[in-house]
Formats: sequence, structure tokens, C-alpha cells
Amino acid sequence: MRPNSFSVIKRPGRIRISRRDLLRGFGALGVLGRLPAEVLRPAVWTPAPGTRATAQTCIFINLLGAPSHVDTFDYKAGNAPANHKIVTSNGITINSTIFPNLSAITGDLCVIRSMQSVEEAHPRGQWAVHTAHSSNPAVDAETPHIGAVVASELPAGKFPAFLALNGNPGQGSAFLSGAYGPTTTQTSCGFPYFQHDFYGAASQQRFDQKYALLKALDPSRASAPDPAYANFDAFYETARGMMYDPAIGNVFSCADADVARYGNTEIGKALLVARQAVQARNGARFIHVLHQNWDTHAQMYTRGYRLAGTLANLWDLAVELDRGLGALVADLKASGDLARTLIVVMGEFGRTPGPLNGQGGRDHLKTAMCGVLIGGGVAGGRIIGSTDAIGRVTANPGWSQNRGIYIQDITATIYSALGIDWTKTLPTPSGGTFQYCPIISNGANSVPTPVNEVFA
Amino acid sequence: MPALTRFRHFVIRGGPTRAALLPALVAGFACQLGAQYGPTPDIACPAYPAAMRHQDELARAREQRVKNNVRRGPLDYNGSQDVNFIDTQLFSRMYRDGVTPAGPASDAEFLRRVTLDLTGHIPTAQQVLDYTASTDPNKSNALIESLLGSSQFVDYWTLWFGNTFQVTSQYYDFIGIPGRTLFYNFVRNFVASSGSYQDFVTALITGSGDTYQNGAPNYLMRGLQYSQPVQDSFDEITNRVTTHFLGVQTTCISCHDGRGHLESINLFLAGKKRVDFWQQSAFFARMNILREAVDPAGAERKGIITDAAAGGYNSVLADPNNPGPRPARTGGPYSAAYLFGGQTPQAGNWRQELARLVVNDRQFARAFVNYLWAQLYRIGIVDPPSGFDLARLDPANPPPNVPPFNGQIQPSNPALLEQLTDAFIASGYQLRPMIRLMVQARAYHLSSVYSGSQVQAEQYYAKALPRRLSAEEIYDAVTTATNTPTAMTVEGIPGTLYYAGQLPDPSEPRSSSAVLDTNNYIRDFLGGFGRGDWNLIARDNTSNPVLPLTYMNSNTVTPRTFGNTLFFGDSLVGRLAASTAGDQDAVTQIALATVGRPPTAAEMATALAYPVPAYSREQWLSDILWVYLNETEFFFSH
Repeated sequence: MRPNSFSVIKRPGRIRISRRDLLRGFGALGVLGRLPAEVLRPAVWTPAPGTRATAQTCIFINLLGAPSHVDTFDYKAGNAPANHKIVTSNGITINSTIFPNLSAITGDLCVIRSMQSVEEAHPRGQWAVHTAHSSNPAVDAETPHIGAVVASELPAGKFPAFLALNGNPGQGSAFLSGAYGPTTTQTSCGFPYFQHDFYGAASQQRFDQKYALLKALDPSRASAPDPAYANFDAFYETARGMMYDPAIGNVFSCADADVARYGNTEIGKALLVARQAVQARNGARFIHVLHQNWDTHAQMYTRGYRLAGTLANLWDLAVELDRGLGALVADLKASGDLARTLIVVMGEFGRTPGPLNGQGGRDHLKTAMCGVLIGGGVAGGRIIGSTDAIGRVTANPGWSQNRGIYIQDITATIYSALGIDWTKTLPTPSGGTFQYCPIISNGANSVPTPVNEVFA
Repeated sequence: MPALTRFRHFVIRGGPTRAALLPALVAGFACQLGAQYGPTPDIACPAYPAAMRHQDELARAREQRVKNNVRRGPLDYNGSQDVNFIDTQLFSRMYRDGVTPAGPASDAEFLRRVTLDLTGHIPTAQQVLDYTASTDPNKSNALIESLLGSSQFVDYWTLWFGNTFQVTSQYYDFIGIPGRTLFYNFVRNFVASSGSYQDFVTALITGSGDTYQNGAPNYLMRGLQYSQPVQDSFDEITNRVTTHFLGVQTTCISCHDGRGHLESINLFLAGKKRVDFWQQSAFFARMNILREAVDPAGAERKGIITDAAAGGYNSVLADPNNPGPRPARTGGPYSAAYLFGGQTPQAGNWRQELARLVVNDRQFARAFVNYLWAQLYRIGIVDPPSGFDLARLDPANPPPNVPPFNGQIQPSNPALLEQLTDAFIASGYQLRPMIRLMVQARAYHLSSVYSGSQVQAEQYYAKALPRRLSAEEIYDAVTTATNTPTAMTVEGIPGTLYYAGQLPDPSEPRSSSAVLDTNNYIRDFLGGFGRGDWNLIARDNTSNPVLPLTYMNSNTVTPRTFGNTLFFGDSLVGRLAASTAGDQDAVTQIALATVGRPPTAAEMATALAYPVPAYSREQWLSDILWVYLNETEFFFSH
């Protein structure tokens, strides 16, 4: 996704397979060059050897725009306005004015302060967050989202395995089966563009009748005149399985009291739906939640400051994230689901430390950034690594590899927590190799490694 | 004698390298060079017999290649049904190889297919009735002309170019709505006015001035890179130009030499170096893009594009702390040289020179007709159309007979490709004549039902290959079939739009502040069907389970199957319920409006037997319509 270069390679199905190859019957990959679901799934799932396998679902909260680490989870003295209340508990110093709930549950947070990025541009940085790969036009079309990888690896339920809330996750399943692509909503509660209650109480019966008529009447379902038609019925069957199933519908219905408790914001609703998806225990494996707009080049501490209608100041963003995330953690704890749900909170890089810039904000920085992990076997009240006095560079890596921690390492950690072999590779339709966690282009070609120091 | 023996050893191996010839040369047998490489070996040369054998081999190989690739068919091929050279090339080859093509498509099938393929719309029920009933022997040509002259044609092909150039208002703050709208109108004017594609592309490459006053320079703005060295912008723009206009994606060699990377992918580029790419990119190196704020806060900026009189492509970066995504550059400053022939600029304005070189390159015409072919015949003669390997184009000059190409050239039908190229050039580089040729051909009128193998179908174009409709086409088909078009207003476009195929970029239609307004539903629907955003999310016309989940439950679809409602007014079901049409008539109307054909006997019987007596007539009609909107063939141009 170097979004700036036209790439026909992005159109699936013709990715550098010569027609000769297609005609020879690149059988398993089908006309569209996608691996069928069956090829990837083992009959009975067990965690890969060597993995931690502590979690069954990952909720990935993507702080789009790159949050300022030195104002959030790697707080440096003097950065907040003078009247903000900075507290330290469990060794973690945090601004409790903007994070009232999270500052009260530092015992559940594992803060990683020795992270770095190789990118300082949003599209490339976000691409790495979504796929754990550096954007490369030659292979981007064959690089699936980490959510799709997770969906392809873990046992399925009735619920979509890869859920994307509050916005597109920036990449789909690529050459993995379309079944592992994201089910995406722009806004969470009620799947608002969907409605199956057009007929009131008789809705399901009515739908079933219509659907049965469709199956009986459509001549292409009786005999498909072309392979292009062949999958259509299969997709319809899968979709139908999801409808009218309370297991699915309930996840997206939000009670007013809950919405209020989560802050009555889009991020709050998304985290509420994520909670319900986890608690349904019905196959949700990777829930990507988009929160924007953390790209605070200006007016970081001006409450109410917006850009194009979206909140764009750190204060308000932190408060709304804090409310939803605090409620999420509390609810998952109460239902006993926190230990098997890995929550990851991070953006794509850090922001310039020290005094604010001329517009009252901070700019891009790749030499230091931070991430937070909660639940899923992770130890709370723990800090991994540290930066220098102002937060410009890593001072102490704080882990076994003794170097900065990159998104590839975090991805390896996620995979390990979920019981997935992070060293796995797959062949791609064009004849290349897709590595789950590729060598990191940090100059030292570091090998991605799970940050085992986070685990309890 | 010993020297001769040594030489014969090399010669008999066939195709000696120059290194192998050296001992012979050293030995003084200079005639060998002429024997091996000259047109007529010297009979007095001791190497003559071997040389003649070699010449014979070359000649036989050439003849075989010609047979394989440039055949016009056996002498007894009956071309009396051929409409134009496309038919001759395709059907004579099928005849030669014993491949039976599919039968012809029915009138209804052809009408729906060509209406979709030329305008992105389905025909109305009345159009289906009129066309199938017409006894005019020239009706298909008349239909084609009417489609070519329609405003929907302009909409559709403006969007087709739009999907390639991706000039969206949401590309950072580089384009904005003014730039986007100006560019959209620029493309639209070209399509509407039957202008020359050479002039059009020249304007895009040389676009200058204020991007909020001129449309064409927004093409270049779309190639600008955010927060990267200017060289990366030049490189990305260069890749866009070579891909869009020459069918050759060069982004690989923008980072490294072709050697060691591309030998199995693209022989032409495998022989190119990164320095060659820099010299190609240098054509843009004198371009200066000034970003000028249009609002006091500086949140919105436009571009002012000018060209310096001197300078070249530099390796030195403006900001050493921002090296950009590509490996470090060295050497230079580089002056411009055309990657595809080595030409250097003859005048100081290098972008004008580049435009001249590009639009007069035969590959420019060839790439375009191939993109067009891939659109209308679903698979390019060179596939993918952005992956031309210029070292594997010419049947008279095939690549070496070694893996992975094994002497095979790239185009599946080089004679057809060259004839299409010739036709495009002869037409004055015009769009409509080429489309007319391609859809008038009998090959375009084949059915999509075929008893042969899918392999044959694709390799020989022996049947019509179905194409899943784009997001815009599906949305427009739903609103057309149900007679429920929804008004959309788009900033900068006058009047009211009713069709997604008229939207100037995927940010439209924009919402008001209310979350669940109509425009949000439309965008959500289009996003679900893979429209993409011309930036971070690629268009995806493949299908997956989320599509029917969306479609079967969408507020955009189901309510349109109801009778008169507050929201959709004069819907098809409303009309049918209010009319005196009997059941069979009604089912027929629904089938004609949706899948563009009358119901089959089996469909009619099943529909009439549906279902529950308790339904009101309106409910019955609405269910039948819903079913037809969900039939597989509704989603395809077939």
C-alpha cells in the first residue's frame, strides 16, 4: 500500500501468474488466486509448539495517526498543562486528568516503552500496523492483514473471525480465502445499514420463504454456466447462516445503559461491541477497532479542537478512549474473559518530544513510540523498556533481544499469545513467499521475536 | 588441420558465443564470423557446411514461430462470417486448433451485456422488449451506435479512466474538491468530445499552473508523495506514467537494478539498471510543485506547477534525516533519457519532450488497446495489461529458449494485438472507433454458455467470459430495476446525480453531519461491493460472504422492493400492484427489469406456485422482485 503508485497488481486474480500457469490449473488457488479455506485449516486445532497460547481473541485498538507517547503511556514530566493531575501507581506514571480510568487500573496495564518504527509516514506506518510488513509495491497485493492471518489459523465459530469496527482496516485477506477478510462496519451498534426486521415479528419466516424461493428459482444455482458463478451460492449460504442467528445479532445490539457507561462515543460503542463479540465465545478472533484522529500536529491540549468534524486534540481523544477502554477491561474482568482476550493499544509511530511545536502539537517520530497490552496472559503493572529523559530515543530496550521493539515483534507476540506460529510462511499465487513476521528493515535485519517479557 | 578440428567442435554445438569463436579467430579463420552471422556463408570458408546447417536451423525456427504466432489460419478457413479482423484472428485460430466456439448469445443476453459494458447500466424492461422484438437486421449495430453516443457512455468511460488515475479529493491535502472536480471534468470532456488520446495524455504529462484552476495537473498531484524526498515523487509519477500509458510497471527498478531480480518476471526490465530508471525519472526532475495555502489556517493547499529551465535528477536529498522509502541514491545529477529507446530531450522543457516521446511510441497505442481489450474481453492479450515485457513481444524475435519463458512470447495473439494497435493509430487515437471494433466483432457476441473447457474458453476467447459488475454498476442496476433512483448532490458537479456511475470520486456522496443519512448508506453499500477509495483501499470486484450479507439485509435494497412508500415513491412493485397486470405479466415484467430477459418456463412455474395464500399481492410481488435481484446473473455482465 504505497497508495501513491498505481498498481494493477492490486487487482486480485492476475497477480503475475502467467495465463499459462492459470491454464495449467493452479488448481488449489482457483481462478482468483486465493487459497481455499480448507487448505489452511487443520482438522483439529492445537496451539503451535513454542507459543504461549494464552488468548483466544485479540482486540487491536489502532490509534490512527500515531499518538504522542510522551503525553500518554511514556509520560514525561512537564508535558501536560499545569493543572493536570499526574499520578504514579504500580510504577506507571500517567496523566489521570485525561486517563481517569486507566490511571486507576495500572495494575492491568503492560506498557512497552522501547518501541520504535522504521516509518514516519502514515500510510507506510499504518500498512506496517495492519500487516507487519513494510509496504512494497511488488508484494503488497499478496500481503494479508494480520487479522486475516489470525482468522485463517484459529478455530472458526459462527461469528466472523475478523471484525473491523469503526472503519476499514486498510487491507483484506489478500490471497487467503475471502472468508478470512474483515467484516467491516463504519459504526458499530446495530450494524445500522443492515436491517432484517422489515416485517416485524414475521421477519425471519418471511426471509426464510424468500430465500427458499431464491434457491428454487434461480437457474444459475441449478447449474452454473461459468466458474465465476460457482462460489456465489456458497457465499449466500454462509451469509444466511449469520442472519437471524442471535449469536450474531446480539453482538451488535447495544443496550442504552451500556452505551452510556462506555461514554456514548463511537469508540465506546465499538469497544462495547467488541466486548460482546468476545463474550459470545462464538469465533471472533481478531477485532480491529479504529480510533482517530491521533495525528496531533496542532492544539494537542485544546479541548473541543476538531479537524473536518473529527476530534483532533489529544485531551478529548484520551478521555473518550479511556472511558471505553476502562469499561471494556472492567466488563471482561467481571465475566472472566480478560485472561483469554489480548487487548493491544498502539498507533504507527511516536511524536516529537520536548516542547510543543509552534501550533501546540507534536510531529512524527520513529525513534521512540509506545504500546500497551492488557489481558490475554499479559502481566499488568509492568513496564518494558524505557526512553531517555525526554522520550526521543530508546535508553533501555528491556527485553531479551536488547534492541528496539518493532511492530513485527508485537505481531509475533500477538500470534504467540493466540497459539499461532509466528515463523510460519505460505506460498503466494505469484510464486513468492509470505512470511507471517518478516525480517525487520531496521538496518540490522532483526528477526521478529515475541516479547515474552510481557507475559505473566 | 588441428585448428579446424577445434573450430568445428565449437560450431557443431550450434550458436557459439563470441568467446567460443575467439580461438578460431585467433587461429585466423576470419570467415567464420561471416559464416555464422552473415546472410550468405562463403562457400569457400571451411566453416561453410556447419554454417549452412545453422542457417537452416534458424530458418526453420523462424518459420515455426511464425506458424505458432502469426497464423492467419489454414487456407480453407471460411471467414465469410467475420465482421472484422478481430473475428479473423480469433476464429481462424480456433478453426486451426479444432476449438469449437460457443454459440451466439441471444438478443436479450447481447443487449444486457453491451449496455453494461458500454454504459454501466442495465437495459430497461421496455428496451429488452423492443430490442428482442425488432426485425431490423442491423439492430445490433444501431444499438451499439446509440450506446456510443449516449451520456451514460461518457459517465462510464470517464469513471473507467478515473479508476486508473485515481485523482481523489481525499489524497492527503494535495487535490481537494476543486482539483478533483476540475480533473473529473477534464477527463469527461475528453471522453465526450472524441478527442485524441495523444493530446489527452500530453496534457496530463505536461500539466502546469494552478491545480485549482486547471484539471490536468491534478494527475501529477496524485503522484506526489507525502513527507518524502522530492525524488520519490518524481519516481512515483514516472511509474504512473510508464504503467498508465505504456503498460510497463517500472516501480521495481526504481529501487534496484533489474538484474538478479527480474529474470523470471520481465526480461526487458531485467536488463535495465536503476540508473536507467533515474534517467527516465529525470524527465520530471525540472518540475517544481509549490504547495500554496488556500485558507488562512493552511489546512487546505493547492499546487502551482512550473518547470525550471535547467537541472537534472539529483541523488542528494534535501533533508538527510528524511531518506524516504527507497534505498540511497548515488551519482548524478542525471540528465533525461527515455527508458524505452534511449532518446534524450531535444528541447529544454523535459516534460514536453517526455510527452512527445511517450505518445508517439508505438507501445503507447499498443498498451491502450490492450487495456481496452482486457476491459471488454476480460483478459488482456498481454496479461496483466500493466506487465508488458518488451523483450517478449515480437514473434520474429522471441526470448531465448530457456526457462522460465522457454522461447515463448508474451502476447497470446500478437497479430491481433498489432492490428488493433494499427487501427487505433489510424483512427487518430480515438476511443469510440476501437470500442466499436471490439463490440461489433462476432467474437463479442458469443454466448457465455460453453461445453468446452474453461481453459479453452480463456485461451481462445471461445465464449463470452462473465464479468462481475462493479459496485457502482450493482447499485445503479438495483435502483434502475426497482425504479427507485435516489438524488445525490456532489459539491462542484451541477445539478442532481442519480447514479453511482456518475460520482467523481469514491468520497462521494458525502454525508451531512447525521450519521445515518442516505449518503452514508450509499457509500457503505458501494464500499461493501469493493469500490475502494482510490488511495488506501484498492477496488475489488471479487465476491465473498459479506457481500450477500450486506445485500440481503441492506436498507439500500430491501425497501426498494416494497410498494409505494414515503421513501421510494413510484417503485416497480408499487406500479405493478396498482396495475391490472396478471400474475404472469407481473413476473415477466420483474424478470425483464432485473435480469433483462423473460422468465424461463421453470422460473415462471416456480414463481406462480409461490407461496402462502395469506400474502397480499404487493407482498407477493415484492418477494418475487427480491428473488430476481438476488439471482446470480444479476450481478454479472454475461
